[in-house]
Amino acid sequence: MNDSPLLSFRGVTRQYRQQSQPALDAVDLDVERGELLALIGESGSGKTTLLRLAAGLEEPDSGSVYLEGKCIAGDECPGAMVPPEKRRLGLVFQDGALFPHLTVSKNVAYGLKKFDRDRVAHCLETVGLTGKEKRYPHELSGGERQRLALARAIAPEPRLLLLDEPFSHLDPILRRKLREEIRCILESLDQTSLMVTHDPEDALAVASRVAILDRGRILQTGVPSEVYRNPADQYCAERFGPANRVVDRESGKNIWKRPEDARWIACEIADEGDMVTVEHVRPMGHIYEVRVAPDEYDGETWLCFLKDASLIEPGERGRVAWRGSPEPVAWKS
Amino acid sequence: MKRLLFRAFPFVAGLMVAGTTVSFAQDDELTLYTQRHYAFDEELQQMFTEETGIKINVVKANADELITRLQEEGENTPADLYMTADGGTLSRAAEAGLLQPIQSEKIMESVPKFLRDPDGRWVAITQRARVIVYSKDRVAPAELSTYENLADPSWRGRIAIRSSSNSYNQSLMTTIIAANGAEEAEKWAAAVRKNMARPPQGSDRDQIRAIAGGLADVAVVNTYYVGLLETSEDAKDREAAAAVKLFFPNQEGRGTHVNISGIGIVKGTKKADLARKYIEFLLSDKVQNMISEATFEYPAAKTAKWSEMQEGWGEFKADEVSMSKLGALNAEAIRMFNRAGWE
Amino acid sequence: MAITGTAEAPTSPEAQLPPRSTRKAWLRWPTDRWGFGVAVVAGLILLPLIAVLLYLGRESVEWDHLVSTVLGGYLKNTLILVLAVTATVLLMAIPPAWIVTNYDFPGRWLFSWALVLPLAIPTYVAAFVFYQGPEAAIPLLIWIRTNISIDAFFVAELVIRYGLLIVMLAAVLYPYVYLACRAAFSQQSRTVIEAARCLGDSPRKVFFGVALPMARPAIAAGTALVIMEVINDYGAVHFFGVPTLTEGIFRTWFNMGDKVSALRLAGIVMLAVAVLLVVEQLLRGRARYVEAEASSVPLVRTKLPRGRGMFAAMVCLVPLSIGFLYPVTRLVMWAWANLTSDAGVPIRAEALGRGLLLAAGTATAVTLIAAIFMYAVRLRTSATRSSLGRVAGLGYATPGAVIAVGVLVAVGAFDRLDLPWVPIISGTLFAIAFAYMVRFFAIPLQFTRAGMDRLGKPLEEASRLLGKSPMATFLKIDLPLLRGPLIAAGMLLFVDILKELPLTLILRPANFETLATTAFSLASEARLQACAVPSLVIVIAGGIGLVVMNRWMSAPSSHE
Repeated sequence: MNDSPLLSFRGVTRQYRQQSQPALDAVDLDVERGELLALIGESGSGKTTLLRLAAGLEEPDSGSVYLEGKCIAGDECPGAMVPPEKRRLGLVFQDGALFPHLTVSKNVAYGLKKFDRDRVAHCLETVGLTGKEKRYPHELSGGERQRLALARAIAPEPRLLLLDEPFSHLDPILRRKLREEIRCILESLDQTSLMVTHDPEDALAVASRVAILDRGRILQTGVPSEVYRNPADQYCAERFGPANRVVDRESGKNIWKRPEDARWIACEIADEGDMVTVEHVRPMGHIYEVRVAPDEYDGETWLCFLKDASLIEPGERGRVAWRGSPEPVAWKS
Repeated sequence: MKRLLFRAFPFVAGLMVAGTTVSFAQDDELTLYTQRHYAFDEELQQMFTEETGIKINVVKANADELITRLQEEGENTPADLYMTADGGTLSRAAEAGLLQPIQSEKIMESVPKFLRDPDGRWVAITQRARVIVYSKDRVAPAELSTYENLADPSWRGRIAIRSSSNSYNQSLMTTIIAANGAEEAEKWAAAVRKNMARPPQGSDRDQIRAIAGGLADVAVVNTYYVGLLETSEDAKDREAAAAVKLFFPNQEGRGTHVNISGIGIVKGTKKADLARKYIEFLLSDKVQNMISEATFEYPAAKTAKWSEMQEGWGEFKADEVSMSKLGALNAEAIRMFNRAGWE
Repeated sequence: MAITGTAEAPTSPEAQLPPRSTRKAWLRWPTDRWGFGVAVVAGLILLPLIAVLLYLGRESVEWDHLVSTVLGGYLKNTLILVLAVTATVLLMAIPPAWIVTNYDFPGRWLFSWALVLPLAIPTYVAAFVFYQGPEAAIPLLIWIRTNISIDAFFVAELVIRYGLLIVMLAAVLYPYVYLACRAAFSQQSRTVIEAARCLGDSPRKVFFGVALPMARPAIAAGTALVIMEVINDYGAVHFFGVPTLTEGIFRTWFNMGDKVSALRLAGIVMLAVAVLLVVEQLLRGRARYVEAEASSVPLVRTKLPRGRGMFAAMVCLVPLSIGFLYPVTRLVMWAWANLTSDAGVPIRAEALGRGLLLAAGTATAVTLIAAIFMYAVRLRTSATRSSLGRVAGLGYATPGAVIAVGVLVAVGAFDRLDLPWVPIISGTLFAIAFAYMVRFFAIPLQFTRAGMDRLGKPLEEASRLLGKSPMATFLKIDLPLLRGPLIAAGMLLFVDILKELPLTLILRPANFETLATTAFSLASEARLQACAVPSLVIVIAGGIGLVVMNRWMSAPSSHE
């Protein structure tokens, strides 16, 4: 079993002419075999650029990109960049980029050297589109289109699958469903994948490892639940949802706590937690969102998710304490 | 199958275009660059081919455009003969070194001296008199005398004449410069412009029609247009021709301005012999007589006969100033027109 | 090299340097075959233009004279024509485009495609037909001369002549703006328009305040084409006696024999057009790709009540009548008179076949070359490539005669090289086909660019990632999906080549007559009835081409 990473970036920098900041700034990153690495970041963080560099749709300005240990672009192999069609990668585009003038089966077969009916049938079955061979992309529903995009990408058995915000065009319910299905498919194929998304739930649901980008730099990598629990800074914390800055009593450092870890202590004179004033309370179906203003954090507020806040009123005074980290969950890394 | 057709079509199209491009002129063919565009000319060419078996390939364009083309094509030009409808242009072509001496006594002697190049590089095929036509109803012949007289204020608002961009007017202008000097000529042009019934527009025919319509009383046109209008298929044209009469100016003096339609052999052609044959053909009595009937131009050959209509217009004295002299003055003529505001 | 990602942000000085490629972007040689191909094609197209420019540096004999005498007049006339024709075109084109898109009235469907037809009529043919106008006005003018004053007469004559020329040019050129506006108006987001209506804007306010500004880039593009045609026209202005810059070019070149001065005039023309294109680019550049999403809301046209409906039909009928119905009727009458007389048919079947074949073959070849060229330009974003892409369209801004001479010079020089096995090109169909390509390349370029913009990069990228080379991607993805714009471009090219006159007159090979040259020489002999026959054939062929083009343009380019 090969130990070396499938895809590597070393010191990769990319700057667009119109912008003053580089899109990617000396980035180092590895994608290990068999893993699904999710790149998370705001728009403009450089995650899509990284993906396109991997695909060969763009070239790095400095640094190098390696595929299976061999340089495919950059300083290490100047003038010898491997063009996209020779890299044997798959890419699932944001909006599918399906060929409108070809049928479903022709779309899937597009990347094959010869039209292989069995392979096409197998791929369609894998994604659950059997029976739709003769349809055209515009005749499929949104979810079916993404599945077709996946089938087309995996048909030529790519070494690495790239996914560019594959669920962003779908409504939330469909998104949940498709996420789960795709994760199963990719796992069953043992397909190494690199996914770009701005939706933290995608990463948490699908990825085995996550990397957070901000303005061209990687801030943190790790198992999703780990990063969720222990974000490196505010930016990383906020990728996954609201986070509250809490100053750790012992070390004096900032730590980041999730709203669901908040505990409400109605008593003002308890010796754990901090004094807060409640600003507002909103029932959100499964939990209550309660925003409080801690006394010792001038101007800042905390967001707390409480199971039952029916008795809490705005203006009330109380204490909020934070639960500790849970045991690490077994996760594929 | 559709894909095959789709892919093949551009190649087929390309081949068709390419196939028709490569044109190797045969040995028994001549290529003629000409300004003239009469159907009659085509008949002549066919006649020549029937008689001699030599085919004539024709390129028709404006004479000056043809000069540019000859210059750029240089040695590689496919042209053997160059023909114009204006003497000034022909002599300019000769001066530019584009023509070679015809080298045929027979050809040269068949036309009067002033209708051929002193250095033997070109010869006239037809003559085209540029005359004054006047409204039968509104003008008495006694009022007319010379071209110069048209500058007189009594003609204010009564003259119709075409644009100065036309070579016929330019050649006329050169004779005025040659006869009266630059200063007088420029004054003349300015005065005539002032006398025009409307700014210069349209062709010679339109000037005649303007007289018929009552807009102008006199016009300066080439004689053969009257003939063409008289025999036109359009009733309106015939009416217009019927409303005017011809007058040959400057009969007391140097004579009426006569321009020529002429031909020369292109320098560098390998078929000078064949070319000479064609010129001889054009100057033969048979053809020259046909010309006067067909296009109403005056034939150039000394021994040719006039048509009835031309007899009807009467004999006239022609200005025998040499064409080559006029060619050199053309640029000056144009400048004068520009300064005089004659568009 | 098993390094796991770290969270360290690099602060090394190397990271601060501008990346290698942006520093040297301009110096990059084409590193691949596609780039090389782009350079070759662009170079070939520019060759005649460069040949022309090389002359500019030489001594000019007549330039000072020209400047002091006629140049002012040329500039003034050109400017008057451009402004007046543009204004008239806007009036003739925009209202019909708006009402045909948004309202339902008797004859709407017919008007929607018929309004394009005047484009089939070449300006010189329109000139023959409309020049009867000043003649018909002679009685009126004489009346003015006798009853008012001779000066009033001159003024009236001028007004009638210029006025007629302006109206005539506008009437045959307005379809450019009409087409552009139709496309813009029908694509405008229904939601924006409806939002404006909900906010209480009257239809008039919606039109002037929302729809018209949104259509500005399209209007600018169409107007640019109109202005270029006006500046380049030779036949009509010559006929009507209105000396413009282009007429000046012809006169200076061929009459005065001063190539250099003529080219300087041509340079002025090209400069004016370049300015025009820049302005047009500015007007549309900001609106980046305001190609609003093809609305899923179907277009609902308001049905007009009878009175308004008739008025709407009138508004559409006026430009159509002036620009198409009247000229065609005259032509048909003349042609009928000619064909039923003994004069014989003035066209030879040979000429007809040759002309159509050359136009069709050249149009097909040039469209395909342009498509591949555009594809290659977009393959890699680089400043040099995109400027080459723009520059290849310059021929459209250049007067046909100038291009003809440029080609003559370039081809002549090439022939003088005397390369073995290579036949002489001067005087062949290849030379004239090449000249057509230089002249009209901009048309398929524009269509292809717009089509490829709409197609977007993702499909091409998907194909590349699935293992297809750039060439395979072009053949399998771009070409099939661009069928609509390509056919439309090919049709427009076909029509334009059929109509083309000045370039053809200069460059045509021996024994070669096109319909255009036949019509022109017959008209010069004032054999109007005979001239009507080839003119009519041009108009019919052009009309069919335009209708087909229109159909392909409104059909969606992909199967969405």
